[in-house]
Amino acid sequence: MRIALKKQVIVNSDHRLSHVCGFEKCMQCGRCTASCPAALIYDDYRPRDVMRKLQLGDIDSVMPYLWRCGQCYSCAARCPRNNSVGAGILALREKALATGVAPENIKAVASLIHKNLHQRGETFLPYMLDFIGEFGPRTTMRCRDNGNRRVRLGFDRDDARMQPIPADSMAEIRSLMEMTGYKGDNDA
Amino acid sequence: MLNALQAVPKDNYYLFKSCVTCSIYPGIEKSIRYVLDRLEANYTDDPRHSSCTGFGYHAGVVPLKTNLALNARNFSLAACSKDKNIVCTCPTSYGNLKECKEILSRDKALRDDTSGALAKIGKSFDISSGVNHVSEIFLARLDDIKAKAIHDFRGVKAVTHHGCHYSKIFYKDVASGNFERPTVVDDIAKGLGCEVLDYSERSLCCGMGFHYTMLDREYPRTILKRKFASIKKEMPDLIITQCPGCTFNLDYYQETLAEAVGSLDIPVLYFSELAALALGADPYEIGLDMHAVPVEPLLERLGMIGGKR
Repeated sequence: MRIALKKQVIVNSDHRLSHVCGFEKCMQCGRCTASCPAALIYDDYRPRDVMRKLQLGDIDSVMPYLWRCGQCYSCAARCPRNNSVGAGILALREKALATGVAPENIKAVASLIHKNLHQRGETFLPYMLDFIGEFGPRTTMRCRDNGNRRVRLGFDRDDARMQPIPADSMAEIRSLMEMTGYKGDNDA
Repeated sequence: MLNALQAVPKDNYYLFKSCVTCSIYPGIEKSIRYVLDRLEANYTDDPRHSSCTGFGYHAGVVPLKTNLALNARNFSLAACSKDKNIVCTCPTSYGNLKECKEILSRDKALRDDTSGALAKIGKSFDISSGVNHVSEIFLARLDDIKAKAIHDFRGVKAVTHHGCHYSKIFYKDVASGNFERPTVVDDIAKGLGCEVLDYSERSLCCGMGFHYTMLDREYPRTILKRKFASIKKEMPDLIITQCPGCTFNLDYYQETLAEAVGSLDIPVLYFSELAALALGADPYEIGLDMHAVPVEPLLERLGMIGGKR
């Protein structure tokens, strides 16, 4: 039994799949899988297999594993044909969220990031570091006062920056989010 | 050594701020400003630019078109500034801005869409500004930094860790060494007197993984076990980083990983903190007391503790 790739399957018009990912050039050498931290951890995720599935036009069987990738791009750097599994994964993640098949916890992250960007023009904010308690007693003790320390250094307590983004700029940022179809729970 | 083909602007920087840096280690941004000020560099600190969105983009939750539009606005702000050369404090901003620039240059339909959206907010489409990472600027101006340094790190054995989004996305653009063995931070550290040690898992990612940091920290823990087991064999005094996310991972996870790999307690410094210390910055004014692994014992050994808490 052989796998035939004679027929070119167009799977998606996203620039990252059609111009950056390069799955149709993949020769299944496996350097990506050998370099992939996610493949070290998960038996069900192999970037080489992602590329083969894309060559076969079988997106559906890739969809459940998209968030295994940690976006380090070791696959891209080491690919002898300048392909990027990581870029293809991003295109498919966008599709998964748009079609509602993304996992629920990812939808929650999507909503959080949208809220941050919409309110302050930033994706990551100081309040998100609410899990330092799991890093051990010394780290917790040492870092529990970092909120006051950042203020001492001249930074805003709640915003990431010294000086939050001005209101007129925030209005521009929000309209670009809206014009590009980026919707969140907080869009009325 | 700076690779000959890499253009690094000598001055006039548009300082591109990072939400991860400022949220977790605001002192890193202060150390960057401290070094730029001491070099008497001209730079613009524009409060109007937005996040590059990279943390959300790589988690897969910010759409490509939004990423392109917000960064086209950022490019437009830089192009209209007196300091046009975008210099990022975070490798993800560096990689993401370069990616946006490349896609907008190559894809006419996306360029037309993006430029149309910008027109509606009264901004012109101009993506001509170059994109560099701050470490490249420090490397290009290393002689100036060395000339003004009042401390050196002789006798300090260090390992380095470069950001994946610096060396593995635009892997042909690494300013010193190559993607497999980037030496931008090594060159800076050596210039300031450190001895830089090699280790086998040098190119392994820190495991930050964007959504993983929010949802499943077993991913970073597993990768860091491997990374730290390799670092521990070389017994360095210091880990020097190039990315705020990597700094967080290599710093905060050490205490709880000791159970798996043995005691670690290796202080982690961002390359700009190292340079600021060499230039005489007060450790507390650049927020070194915000690090998880105490940096103070190393600073005491080097006679650098001076400020008040």
